[in-house]
Amino acid sequence: MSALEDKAFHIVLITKGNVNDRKVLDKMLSCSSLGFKKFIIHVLTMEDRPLYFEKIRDIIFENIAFTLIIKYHKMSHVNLNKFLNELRSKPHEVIEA
Amino acid sequence: MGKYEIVLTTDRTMMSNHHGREFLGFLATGPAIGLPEKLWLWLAAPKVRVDEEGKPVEAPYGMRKVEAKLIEAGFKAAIIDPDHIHKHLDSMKILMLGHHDYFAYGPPSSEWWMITGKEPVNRVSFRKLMESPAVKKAREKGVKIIAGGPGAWQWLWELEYWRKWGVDLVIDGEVEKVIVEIVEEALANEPLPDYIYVGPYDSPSIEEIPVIKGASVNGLVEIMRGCPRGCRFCPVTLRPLKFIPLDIIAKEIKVNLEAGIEGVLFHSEDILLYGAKGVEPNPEALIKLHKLARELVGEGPIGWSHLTLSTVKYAEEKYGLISKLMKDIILAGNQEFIGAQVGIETGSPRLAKMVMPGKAAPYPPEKWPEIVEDAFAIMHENHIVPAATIILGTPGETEDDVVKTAELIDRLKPYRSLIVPMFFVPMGTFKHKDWFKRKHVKREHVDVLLKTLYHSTYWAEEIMSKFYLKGLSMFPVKLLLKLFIRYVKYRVEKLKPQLEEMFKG
Repeated sequence: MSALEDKAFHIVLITKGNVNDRKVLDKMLSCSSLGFKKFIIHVLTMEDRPLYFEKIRDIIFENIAFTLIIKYHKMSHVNLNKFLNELRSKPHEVIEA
Repeated sequence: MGKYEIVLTTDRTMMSNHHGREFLGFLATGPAIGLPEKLWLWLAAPKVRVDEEGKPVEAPYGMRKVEAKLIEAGFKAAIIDPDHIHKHLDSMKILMLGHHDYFAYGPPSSEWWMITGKEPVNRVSFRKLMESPAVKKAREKGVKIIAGGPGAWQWLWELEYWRKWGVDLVIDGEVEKVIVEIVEEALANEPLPDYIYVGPYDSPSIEEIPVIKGASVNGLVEIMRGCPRGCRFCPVTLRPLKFIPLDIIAKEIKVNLEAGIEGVLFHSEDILLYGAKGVEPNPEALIKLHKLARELVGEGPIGWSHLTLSTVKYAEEKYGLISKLMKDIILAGNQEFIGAQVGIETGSPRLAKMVMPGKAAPYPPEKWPEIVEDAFAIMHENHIVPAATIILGTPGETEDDVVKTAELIDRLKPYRSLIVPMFFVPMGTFKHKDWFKRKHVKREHVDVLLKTLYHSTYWAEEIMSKFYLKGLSMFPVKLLLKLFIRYVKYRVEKLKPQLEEMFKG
């Protein structure tokens, strides 16, 4: 998704239970002051798709200002390492919440 | 054999022209009351005319925009009536769904559901669509399913259905700028995200919004997007404000006329703010817009979707604009009235100041009840029939606020109108707040509910007979609605002692 993902800030959200949505929202807010208005949240979770939205719904509902793209990844070290490699050249942050 | 790789559809409650009367569509937001469900559905949403391929003559406007965008990008895309999807199973690669209220969580569906304890017809109808053999087959074939539209957020509360029905992507917001790329990815079998919320920075420019290729339901044409008033409960106010140029509006009216639609229904959050500077109406732009419409539709009806009461008062008092538009243009031919949806929301100046300070502008929010009364008087004089909403259970609401709303409804009795109460639904900047639930209902809320019922049933008969449902062809609809109103009155009278008992002491 080149154009849609263009100029986006990537957040890798590693979650094992309930998500602290404040942590993610604060990160988005601080990045917005650097000019980011679009966020891709890669959710790494043990939950199934799309049931994991139960845990991150508040992030979506608390946000009105920024474009959000939510992507799912089954939790594994392989997945995490693959990601971090792919994201190396892109603005990103890993959040455990 | 079908030929469309992208099929856009929705359930019957959306894919209908509601007998040419938009307001009847609201019946689909409730459960069938006093009538069999099939008859109720026919009353709210009769089937639309379709061609051999199942393409409807009229279709929801938002879906028409997406269809146009995809056609312009070179895709074989079409809106297909839900009864005809099976004709396109061979060619279909993407099934796109659109809806205002997929699961009946929006207002007023959620309220009818709460009051009656029965699922509203729109929810039942959408579930039937998703469990129909055609949609099941599409899913088995690996067709990608993308759900969008103003009700997209509701999927986040229905994760089991999301999983069961295999929806690949839910997209919320204005999609014109992003939909082509998403479809390209889907057709290339690239992995799609699960959810996209398109924020205001990715809102399309006027140039990126296409002209519809097929007719919209009842000739609806968008004249502006967004709203400058900033009410906290409303999602529309989050969108950047833009006015659609007259030449684009004219093109869309012509598309509708060519399809046999006789009039135009202007859509905006406040029709009277077309071309405005902030909340200051622009008489010249409005007169040009309406003259253009009259020229194009001839004797056909001109309709309005929404008005704001403060603009009605201000436009009339400063420019005499309401009477000018009505007498010189709208009512100049055969047309006898115009309907519009308006928001009263509260009769409490305190609550108005807290949650919708911009709604009263340019007047101070403390004057809100007076503004409502004055606007209702102006509309009554000028044959504008408002369908007004009241919101109960807004965060921060007190008993005194609800009493003030009840008092305002009493003062509105002389004015021809319908008043519909709605329970608070978390949307707009309030979307993280709690829902208004049955356990929150107090005696004052019940008083308001009863007052709105008495007000609306008092005026409904006159509105139906003299304005809205005139003519022989409307007789069966009018008869059923009259029976329904009598049944509701009878049920409420029977329920009253129980309500009294509930709130005793």
